[in-house]
Amino acid sequence: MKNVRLFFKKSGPLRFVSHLDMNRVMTRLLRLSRVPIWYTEGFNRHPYITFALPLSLGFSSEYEVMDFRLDDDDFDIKTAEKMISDVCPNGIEVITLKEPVFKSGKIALADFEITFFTNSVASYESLNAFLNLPEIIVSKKTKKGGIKEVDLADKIKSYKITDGKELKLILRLPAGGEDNINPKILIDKYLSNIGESDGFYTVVRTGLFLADGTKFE
Amino acid sequence: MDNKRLEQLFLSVQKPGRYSGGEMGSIIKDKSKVDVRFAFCFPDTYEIGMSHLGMKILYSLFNEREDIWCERVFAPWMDFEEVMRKEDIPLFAIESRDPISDFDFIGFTLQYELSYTNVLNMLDLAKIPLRSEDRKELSPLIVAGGPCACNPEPLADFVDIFFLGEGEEVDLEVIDLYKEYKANGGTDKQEFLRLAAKIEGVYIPSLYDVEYDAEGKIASYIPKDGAPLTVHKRIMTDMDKAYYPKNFVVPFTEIVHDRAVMEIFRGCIRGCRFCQAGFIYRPVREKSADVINAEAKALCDSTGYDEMSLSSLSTSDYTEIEPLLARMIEWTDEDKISLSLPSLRIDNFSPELLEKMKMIRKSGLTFAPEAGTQRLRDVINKNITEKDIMKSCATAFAGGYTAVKLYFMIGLPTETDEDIVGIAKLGQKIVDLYYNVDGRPKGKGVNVSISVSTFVPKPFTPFEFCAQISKEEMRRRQQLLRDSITTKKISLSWHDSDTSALEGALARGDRRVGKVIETAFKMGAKMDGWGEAFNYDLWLDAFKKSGLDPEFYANRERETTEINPWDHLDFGVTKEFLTKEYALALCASTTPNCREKCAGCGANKYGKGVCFEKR
Repeated sequence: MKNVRLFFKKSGPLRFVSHLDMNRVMTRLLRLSRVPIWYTEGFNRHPYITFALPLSLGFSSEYEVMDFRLDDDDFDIKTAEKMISDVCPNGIEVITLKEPVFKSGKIALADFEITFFTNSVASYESLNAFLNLPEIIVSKKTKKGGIKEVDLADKIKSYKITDGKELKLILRLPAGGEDNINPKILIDKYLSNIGESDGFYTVVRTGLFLADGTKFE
Repeated sequence: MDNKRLEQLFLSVQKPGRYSGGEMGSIIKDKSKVDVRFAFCFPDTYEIGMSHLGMKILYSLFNEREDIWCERVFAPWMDFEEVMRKEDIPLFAIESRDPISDFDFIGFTLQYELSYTNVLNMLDLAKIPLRSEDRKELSPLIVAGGPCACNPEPLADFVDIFFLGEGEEVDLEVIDLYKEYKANGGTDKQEFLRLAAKIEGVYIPSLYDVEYDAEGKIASYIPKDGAPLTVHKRIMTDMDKAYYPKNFVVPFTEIVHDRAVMEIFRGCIRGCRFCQAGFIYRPVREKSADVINAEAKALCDSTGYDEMSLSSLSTSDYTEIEPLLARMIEWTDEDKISLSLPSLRIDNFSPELLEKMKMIRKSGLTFAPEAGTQRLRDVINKNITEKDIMKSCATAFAGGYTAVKLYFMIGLPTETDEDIVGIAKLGQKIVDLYYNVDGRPKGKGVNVSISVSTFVPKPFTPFEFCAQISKEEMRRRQQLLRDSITTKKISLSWHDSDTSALEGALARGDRRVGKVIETAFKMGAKMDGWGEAFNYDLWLDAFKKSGLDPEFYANRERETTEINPWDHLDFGVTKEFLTKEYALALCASTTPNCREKCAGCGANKYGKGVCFEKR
């Protein structure tokens, strides 16, 4: 038995697949690939699959991470990668399959790219001004089901705005078990500040990093 | 609407994966390179429709043809419907996202009466006039099939063409006729319908005039323009040669039955007198174990599913069930696929079968005695005894099961209070049995769950003549049963009786009931199969506004000589046979199953199936 880590992109129709449903989708994909995956022992045998960090419904991702186990330690990883790649539907694209470097719990930061639709009222100026506010207070649901106020101004690790054909925001936020900020709450706060109720934007998660900024691998 | 905006809107509703498409196995074609576009509509949600085997078969069958592109369409849930209406998005097909009003055929599968308002709602969302007579163009043609098409009359005003029986051949024949008609420059819908009416299995309701007598009963059906006096259903005579999909569209999101399904036979030998499927799918035609085994393996290989279910009306009646399972287990075990066997009968549930099932997976055990006393089980021709039930439960308990689920109906013809109390008594006997079985699981209690629905008389059954009990009587009998159960080891659940009452009125409705459905729809009825949407009072109001009485259709005992709205349609079983069976039912006299003795139902005219097996 050997732990392996699949890195892949999730986009297109897969954007509408929730984290829970992804589990089933990837299980079937691994089964289809015929890669010798390790199954749990016991009566109801199933493959052992974990995702490093769940992705919100509606987001695309250029860097999804999923761990599973190979039953055969000597099975060639590059061959397995190709076998999986060959059965991927439109919307899942394999980046690489390799042995894990870091533990999933080490993830502390994530990068996002937010693209505003051309019909959105968002602008470079208002967005820049918003992100420079001394405090950005939003209500956030806690894990226990309560609601607490969070200052997002503290949470923005870095950002960059580009205003070419489309207005884009590249954002680094805390991610993982310790502290996790969904960029949606920040953007929705911005849009409501400028009077737009309907969200005309897309979100792509572009990377996962350790606390010191090292790429998660 | 541009895709970016549409996808943004998907994200504003629950479960957007219902609408977004792109699933593995879904078929995309170049629309400029096909001759016929077919919108296969399931008039309920994605989760329900995607679980339906018939849709999978026809979707694959149509799409194997290069000149046809068949796409899927489901009823949007109410949150997305609101968005569609607000943003002016016409109903679209999942694959292309093109409005279905551009299609050549819009086909509905009619699986239950409570989906009828969804049919109208989907046409309305597609901006297509509801009534056939208001659609003057050749296309889109609104077609429909499925079990409810055996009494198509309530939808006769809306649907251009009904397909009777099994669709594999007749659907393609009509599509081919359309293609040829259009290629020859034809544009006249009426002319096309007259031509289509010559194809066996095609029923064009607009080619029939109906006359009623003073009481509102049907006086006659008069065919026009050369339409046949009687329309015969179509069936596949050789199941081994019948088309079966090598692949399914595999949803990304969870659906009701999320597994590979293998059909093992059509029809049912039993002849339970309440069961419409048991009559309209006659005769029984089995697939051979070789074919099933090979097709099942291919399906699992192409879909990646880790669960497979064998589908039929009564799985344990498959003649080679044990050898089939033995062969399938060889590879399902290896590939870690769990097999499930729904629809097992209580009387041929052998220890050997249980042994196989235990190898497969320990799922719940469900039996359907249907009635609480032997007398009533004889009336409905269930042909199982209390001894059978006890023996099967004992087998199950000894094999480690601690829970069984039992299905019953109330309101069956001739039912008395004794029969109702009998349900509770039977439940109690099973509880007592558990504690007397050697080898039962140590230290564990038993749970007998009793699920009760209300009997709805259906066309083409021996009970098509029966009165359904009134809503007040349904409530009284439910209360009686509730009061008769004294142990917490029995859990009781109900199927809503209001929906059964409406189902009763629609199932045996005539052509005039179309007005009621249209009125109810315009008053806001939709998703009637869903408790949160169903409004019985609205329906009563719709009946009143249409000048009709639901009791006339549901709660009236019909003379066996009365002309039923479906009597000009032929599903193999003769009315004489149904009449005879009804008489036998009333004196609690049973009829042997098709394998024991031919009952002379009429279905042997197809020349194939169980009627010609060696007995």
